[in-house]
Amino acid sequence: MSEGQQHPYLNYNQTPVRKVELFSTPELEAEVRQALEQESQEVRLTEAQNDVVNNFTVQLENITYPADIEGIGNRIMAIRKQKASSN
Amino acid sequence: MADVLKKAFELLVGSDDMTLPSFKLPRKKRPLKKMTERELIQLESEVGAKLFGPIPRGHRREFFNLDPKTWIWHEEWMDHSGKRRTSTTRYEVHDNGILKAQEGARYSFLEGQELENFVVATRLYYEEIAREIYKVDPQTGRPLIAQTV
Repeated sequence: MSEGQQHPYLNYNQTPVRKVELFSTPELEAEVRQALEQESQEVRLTEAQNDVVNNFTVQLENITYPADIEGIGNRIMAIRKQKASSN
Repeated sequence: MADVLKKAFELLVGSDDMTLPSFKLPRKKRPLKKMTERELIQLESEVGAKLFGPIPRGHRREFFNLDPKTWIWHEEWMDHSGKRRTSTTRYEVHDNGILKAQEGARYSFLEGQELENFVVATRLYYEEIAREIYKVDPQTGRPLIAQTV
Protein backbone atom coordinates (compact mmCIF):
# COMPACT_ATOMS: atom_id res chain seq x y z
CA MET A 1 0.00 0.00 0.00
CA SER A 2 1.58 3.28 -1.04
CA GLU A 3 1.86 6.32 1.22
CA GLY A 4 -1.25 8.46 1.31
CA GLN A 5 -3.45 5.63 0.17
CA GLN A 6 -6.34 5.19 2.54
CA HIS A 7 -6.47 1.91 4.32
CA PRO A 8 -9.81 0.30 3.58
CA TYR A 9 -10.46 -0.41 7.24
CA LEU A 10 -9.64 3.03 8.57
CA ASN A 11 -11.89 6.00 8.45
CA TYR A 12 -9.78 9.09 8.81
CA ASN A 13 -12.80 11.27 9.35
CA GLN A 14 -13.54 9.51 12.56
CA THR A 15 -12.55 11.28 15.75
CA PRO A 16 -9.46 9.58 17.03
CA VAL A 17 -9.97 7.53 20.11
CA ARG A 18 -8.19 9.00 23.08
CA LYS A 19 -7.17 7.17 26.14
CA VAL A 20 -9.68 8.21 28.76
CA GLU A 21 -8.51 8.54 32.30
CA LEU A 22 -11.13 6.87 34.42
CA PHE A 23 -10.01 8.30 37.69
CA SER A 24 -9.22 11.93 38.24
CA THR A 25 -7.41 11.31 41.49
CA PRO A 26 -5.63 8.34 43.04
CA GLU A 27 -8.06 8.52 45.97
CA LEU A 28 -11.01 8.13 43.66
CA GLU A 29 -9.30 5.26 41.90
CA ALA A 30 -8.72 3.53 45.23
CA GLU A 31 -12.31 4.11 46.23
CA VAL A 32 -13.68 2.72 42.98
CA ARG A 33 -11.36 -0.26 43.04
CA GLN A 34 -12.42 -1.01 46.60
CA ALA A 35 -16.07 -0.81 45.57
CA LEU A 36 -15.42 -3.11 42.63
CA GLU A 37 -13.61 -5.58 44.84
CA GLN A 38 -16.49 -5.50 47.30
CA GLU A 39 -18.91 -6.05 44.48
CA SER A 40 -16.97 -9.02 43.19
CA GLN A 41 -17.03 -10.48 46.69
CA GLU A 42 -20.77 -10.06 46.75
CA VAL A 43 -20.96 -11.86 43.44
CA ARG A 44 -18.88 -14.69 44.83
CA LEU A 45 -21.17 -14.87 47.83
CA THR A 46 -24.17 -15.06 45.56
CA GLU A 47 -22.56 -17.86 43.61
CA ALA A 48 -21.91 -19.73 46.84
CA GLN A 49 -25.52 -19.23 47.82
CA ASN A 50 -26.57 -20.48 44.42
CA ASP A 51 -24.56 -23.61 45.00
CA VAL A 52 -26.40 -24.18 48.24
CA VAL A 53 -29.73 -23.62 46.55
CA ASN A 54 -28.79 -25.93 43.68
CA ASN A 55 -27.66 -28.64 46.04
CA PHE A 56 -30.79 -28.21 48.02
CA THR A 57 -32.89 -28.50 44.87
CA VAL A 58 -31.11 -31.72 44.01
CA GLN A 59 -31.86 -33.01 47.49
CA LEU A 60 -35.48 -32.00 47.08
CA GLU A 61 -35.73 -33.92 43.85
CA ASN A 62 -34.65 -36.99 45.71
CA ILE A 63 -37.44 -36.64 48.23
CA THR A 64 -40.36 -38.94 47.85
CA TYR A 65 -43.00 -37.44 50.04
CA PRO A 66 -44.98 -38.09 52.10
CA ALA A 67 -42.77 -41.01 53.14
CA ASP A 68 -39.70 -38.80 53.58
CA ILE A 69 -41.57 -36.22 55.63
CA GLU A 70 -42.67 -38.98 57.94
CA GLY A 71 -39.05 -40.11 58.02
CA ILE A 72 -37.98 -36.63 59.10
CA GLY A 73 -40.67 -36.70 61.77
CA ASN A 74 -39.38 -40.04 63.02
CA ARG A 75 -35.84 -38.71 63.23
CA ILE A 76 -37.00 -35.64 65.16
CA MET A 77 -38.94 -37.78 67.59
CA ALA A 78 -35.93 -40.01 68.10
CA ILE A 79 -33.50 -37.22 69.00
CA ARG A 80 -36.14 -35.49 71.11
CA LYS A 81 -36.91 -38.60 73.11
CA GLN A 82 -33.23 -39.33 73.48
CA LYS A 83 -32.60 -35.85 74.87
CA ALA A 84 -35.60 -35.98 77.19
CA SER A 85 -34.57 -39.36 78.58
CA SER A 86 -30.92 -38.40 79.02
CA ASN A 87 -31.77 -35.43 81.26
CA MET B 1 -2.45 -34.47 117.05
CA ALA B 2 -4.34 -31.88 115.07
CA ASP B 3 -2.17 -29.13 116.51
CA VAL B 4 0.97 -30.93 115.46
CA LEU B 5 -0.30 -31.25 111.95
CA LYS B 6 -1.27 -27.60 111.93
CA LYS B 7 2.14 -26.51 113.07
CA ALA B 8 3.83 -28.74 110.56
CA PHE B 9 1.69 -27.24 107.84
CA GLU B 10 2.52 -23.71 108.99
CA LEU B 11 6.18 -24.56 108.88
CA LEU B 12 5.92 -25.85 105.38
CA VAL B 13 3.59 -23.22 103.94
CA GLY B 14 4.44 -20.33 106.22
CA SER B 15 0.86 -19.29 106.68
CA ASP B 16 -1.31 -18.89 109.72
CA ASP B 17 -4.32 -20.19 107.85
CA MET B 18 -4.52 -23.88 107.35
CA THR B 19 -6.96 -23.94 104.53
CA LEU B 20 -7.22 -26.95 102.38
CA PRO B 21 -7.55 -26.54 98.66
CA SER B 22 -11.06 -26.69 97.40
CA PHE B 23 -12.01 -29.71 95.35
CA LYS B 24 -15.37 -28.43 94.21
CA LEU B 25 -16.08 -29.46 90.67
CA PRO B 26 -17.16 -26.74 88.28
CA ARG B 27 -20.82 -26.80 87.48
CA LYS B 28 -21.64 -28.35 84.19
CA LYS B 29 -23.38 -26.14 81.73
CA ARG B 30 -26.53 -28.02 80.86
CA PRO B 31 -29.01 -25.71 79.19
CA LEU B 32 -31.31 -28.61 78.43
CA LYS B 33 -31.24 -29.99 81.94
CA LYS B 34 -34.46 -31.68 82.93
CA MET B 35 -36.43 -30.65 79.90
CA THR B 36 -39.53 -32.57 79.08
CA GLU B 37 -40.51 -33.44 75.53
CA ARG B 38 -43.09 -30.67 75.69
CA GLU B 39 -40.45 -28.12 76.66
CA LEU B 40 -38.18 -29.37 73.90
CA ILE B 41 -41.01 -28.88 71.42
CA GLN B 42 -41.31 -25.30 72.61
CA LEU B 43 -37.63 -24.77 71.96
CA GLU B 44 -37.97 -26.35 68.54
CA SER B 45 -40.92 -24.11 67.81
CA GLU B 46 -38.81 -21.01 68.37
CA VAL B 47 -36.49 -22.27 65.66
CA GLY B 48 -39.38 -23.34 63.45
CA ALA B 49 -41.08 -19.96 63.64
CA LYS B 50 -38.05 -18.28 62.13
CA LEU B 51 -37.94 -20.51 59.07
CA PHE B 52 -40.45 -18.42 57.20
CA GLY B 53 -38.73 -15.08 57.43
CA PRO B 54 -39.31 -12.23 59.82
CA ILE B 55 -42.40 -12.45 61.98
CA PRO B 56 -44.64 -9.40 61.52
CA ARG B 57 -44.75 -7.01 64.43
CA GLY B 58 -47.40 -7.95 66.94
CA HIS B 59 -47.57 -11.51 65.66
CA ARG B 60 -46.68 -14.66 67.52
CA ARG B 61 -45.85 -17.64 65.43
CA GLU B 62 -45.20 -21.26 66.20
CA PHE B 63 -44.24 -24.01 63.85
CA PHE B 64 -43.31 -27.39 65.19
CA ASN B 65 -43.38 -31.10 64.70
CA LEU B 66 -45.81 -32.73 67.11
CA ASP B 67 -45.26 -36.35 66.16
CA PRO B 68 -43.95 -38.21 63.09
CA LYS B 69 -47.17 -37.55 61.20
CA THR B 70 -48.26 -34.14 62.49
CA TRP B 71 -46.92 -30.61 62.05
CA ILE B 72 -48.50 -27.52 63.56
CA TRP B 73 -48.50 -23.91 62.43
CA HIS B 74 -50.00 -21.45 64.90
CA GLU B 75 -50.19 -17.71 64.49
CA GLU B 76 -51.62 -15.03 66.79
CA TRP B 77 -52.04 -11.35 66.08
CA MET B 78 -54.20 -8.32 66.78
CA ASP B 79 -56.47 -7.11 64.01
CA HIS B 80 -57.20 -3.43 63.25
CA SER B 81 -59.88 -3.26 65.91
CA GLY B 82 -57.50 -4.59 68.54
CA LYS B 83 -59.18 -7.96 68.65
CA ARG B 84 -56.93 -10.97 69.14
CA ARG B 85 -56.95 -13.35 66.22
CA THR B 86 -55.54 -16.83 66.04
CA SER B 87 -55.04 -19.30 63.26
CA THR B 88 -53.97 -22.89 63.67
CA THR B 89 -53.16 -25.17 60.80
CA ARG B 90 -52.45 -28.84 61.22
CA TYR B 91 -50.52 -30.72 58.58
CA GLU B 92 -51.07 -34.46 58.62
CA VAL B 93 -48.85 -36.88 56.77
CA HIS B 94 -51.03 -39.43 55.02
CA ASP B 95 -50.05 -42.18 52.62
CA ASN B 96 -51.59 -40.26 49.75
CA GLY B 97 -50.27 -36.81 50.61
CA ILE B 98 -50.09 -34.02 53.16
CA LEU B 99 -53.49 -33.03 54.46
CA LYS B 100 -53.91 -29.44 55.62
CA ALA B 101 -56.57 -29.05 58.27
CA GLN B 102 -57.75 -25.60 59.34
CA GLU B 103 -60.48 -24.24 61.52
CA GLY B 104 -63.97 -24.54 60.20
CA ALA B 105 -63.49 -28.09 58.98
CA ARG B 106 -61.46 -26.94 56.00
CA TYR B 107 -59.38 -29.74 54.62
CA SER B 108 -57.21 -29.89 51.53
CA PHE B 109 -54.22 -31.82 50.31
CA LEU B 110 -51.15 -29.74 49.71
CA GLU B 111 -50.05 -29.44 46.13
CA GLY B 112 -47.80 -27.39 43.88
CA GLN B 113 -45.74 -24.61 45.40
CA GLU B 114 -47.39 -24.96 48.79
CA LEU B 115 -46.37 -28.59 48.98
CA GLU B 116 -42.81 -27.76 47.98
CA ASN B 117 -42.64 -25.02 50.59
CA PHE B 118 -43.85 -27.39 53.23
CA VAL B 119 -41.28 -30.01 52.28
CA VAL B 120 -38.50 -27.41 52.41
CA ALA B 121 -39.76 -26.18 55.78
CA THR B 122 -39.74 -29.65 57.34
CA ARG B 123 -36.25 -30.30 56.00
CA LEU B 124 -34.89 -27.00 57.27
CA TYR B 125 -36.64 -27.50 60.59
CA TYR B 126 -34.90 -30.81 61.10
CA GLU B 127 -31.53 -29.47 59.99
CA GLU B 128 -31.80 -26.44 62.29
CA ILE B 129 -33.03 -28.14 65.43
CA ALA B 130 -30.59 -31.02 65.06
CA ARG B 131 -27.68 -28.62 64.99
CA GLU B 132 -28.91 -25.81 67.23
CA ILE B 133 -30.86 -27.61 69.92
CA TYR B 134 -29.71 -31.19 70.00
CA LYS B 135 -26.16 -30.57 68.76
CA VAL B 136 -26.17 -33.59 66.51
CA ASP B 137 -25.27 -34.05 62.87
CA PRO B 138 -28.57 -34.13 60.94
CA GLN B 139 -27.25 -36.77 58.56
CA THR B 140 -25.67 -39.20 60.97
CA GLY B 141 -27.37 -38.28 64.25
CA ARG B 142 -23.98 -38.31 65.92
CA PRO B 143 -23.01 -35.58 68.39
CA LEU B 144 -21.39 -32.56 66.78
CA ILE B 145 -17.77 -32.11 67.66
CA ALA B 146 -16.58 -28.57 68.33
CA GLN B 147 -14.39 -27.62 65.44
CA THR B 148 -11.04 -26.01 66.16
CA VAL B 149 -9.81 -23.51 63.61
